[in-house]
Amino acid sequence: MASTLKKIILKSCDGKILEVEEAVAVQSQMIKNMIEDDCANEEIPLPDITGEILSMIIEYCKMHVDGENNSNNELIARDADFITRVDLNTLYYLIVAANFLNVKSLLDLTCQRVADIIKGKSPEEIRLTFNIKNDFTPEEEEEIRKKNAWAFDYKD
Amino acid sequence: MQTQGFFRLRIVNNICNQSLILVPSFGWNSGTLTDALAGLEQYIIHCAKNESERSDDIFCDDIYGETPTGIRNCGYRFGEVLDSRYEVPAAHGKGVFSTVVRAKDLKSGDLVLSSCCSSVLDLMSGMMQAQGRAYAKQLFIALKHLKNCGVLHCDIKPDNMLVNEAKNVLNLCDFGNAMFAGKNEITPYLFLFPGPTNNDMLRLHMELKGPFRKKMLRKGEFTEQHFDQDFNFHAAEVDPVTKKSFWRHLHWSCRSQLEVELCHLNRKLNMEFVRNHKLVCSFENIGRIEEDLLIEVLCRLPAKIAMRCCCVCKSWYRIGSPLLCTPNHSVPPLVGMLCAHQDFRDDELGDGSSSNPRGRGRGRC
Repeated sequence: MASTLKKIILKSCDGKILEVEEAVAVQSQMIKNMIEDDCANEEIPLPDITGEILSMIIEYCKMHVDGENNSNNELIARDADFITRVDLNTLYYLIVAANFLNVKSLLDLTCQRVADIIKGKSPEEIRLTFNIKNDFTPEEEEEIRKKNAWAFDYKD
Repeated sequence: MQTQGFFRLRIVNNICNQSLILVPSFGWNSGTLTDALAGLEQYIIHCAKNESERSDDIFCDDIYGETPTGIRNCGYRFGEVLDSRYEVPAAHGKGVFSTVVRAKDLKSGDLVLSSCCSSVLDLMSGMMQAQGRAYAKQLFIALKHLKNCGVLHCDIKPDNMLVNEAKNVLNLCDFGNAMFAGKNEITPYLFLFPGPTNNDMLRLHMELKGPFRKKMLRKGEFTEQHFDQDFNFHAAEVDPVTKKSFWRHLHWSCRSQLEVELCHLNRKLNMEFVRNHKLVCSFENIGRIEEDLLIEVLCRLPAKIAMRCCCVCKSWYRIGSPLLCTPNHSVPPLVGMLCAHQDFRDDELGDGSSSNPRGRGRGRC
């Protein structure tokens, strides 16, 4: 099959150029659309994605293309292995890039990872973890807690 | 009270003395013929075939005159005579807005309705050329008649062209959206891309949304009027000096203006972020995550935990609260966006204490 051997050239914002097989590149819905529209014959600039993140995403896509014949469980295990190696900082860039490139499975994976991190944390801990400023006044926060008491009884 | 709308119910064919009378069943809503005819044998309005033979009352409301208030809320009875001219021998049914009655012109003794069996839409497949030509001719006659009456039909389409049982007479019907020319404003929704020509509208559309997909253009019927064989758009422009029109080729990059601007903004924010980044702890950026992505994250959490997230900061509250806050403070919401995104199992209103690593497989279905 000639079409699967076609290379797509991606250029990251820091000038790194990566050649990717078409079969791997079309994991990204955005690139798939571009190929369908014949816009992918030259290099595709990706101004918001660094080379490091881009190669991670390509690694992920490759893993999925190569693992197509493997069982679902094996793929989940590989995904889990992939995502636990990622620190929170990289995770953010991965989410943004997966969203931009429209790689649905990676977006699922990364968002689920953040959700898993949030689970088991109190609002204070979440703020600390992600360095979010609490812009509620104590009264406002108290009111939210009161109005949604079902979520804040820590008995269970 | 809407006073327009009644004229549209009658266009009289004076040759055959046929017309259709659509009577508002209650209130003074503008009746739509489609409504009235729903579920019935379809009836139509004949158009004059020869305008020289039409009389003055060709479309005016000669039953009720200018003020239709007198007929509000009345049902029509069999045998009733309207305007001492039209007798109503039978009612044909009620639409949402109006009633269709059969009417007889007492002066001429003719029935003012005719029946039709199918719309042109049903006949479209397998229509012969001669047949199509005959229909087209009749349609143009109808259009000419409408023009002479100063009526805009506003909804001409195959569904609204009915043919008689012999399939040799075509009638234009459904004047539910019709109006008098000149008395109306230009339809407002056209102003999203307010070009004076199709070519102009296409240009404006592409300026905002980027070029059309080639796949789509390949299927387009009028593509060659606005695009060359490589699907490059050519805009019709007028030279300001010579006043001659010419084609100008326009190219858009693969991304639309909208995307480019968003991208630009995003990059600026990112740069700013990178600058600050050196000073702050590396975890902070999840807190900067865009709202649509934050929803992706929150919808993967059980309702209880997601609700707790709502009091992290104002932007998180803004996203979560419409979906999670309940009127009864002590009870969690029954279902919400959470269930729409993934199947929640026994822990759906879960205990916030256990972090559950198996979670990630679930969102994939």
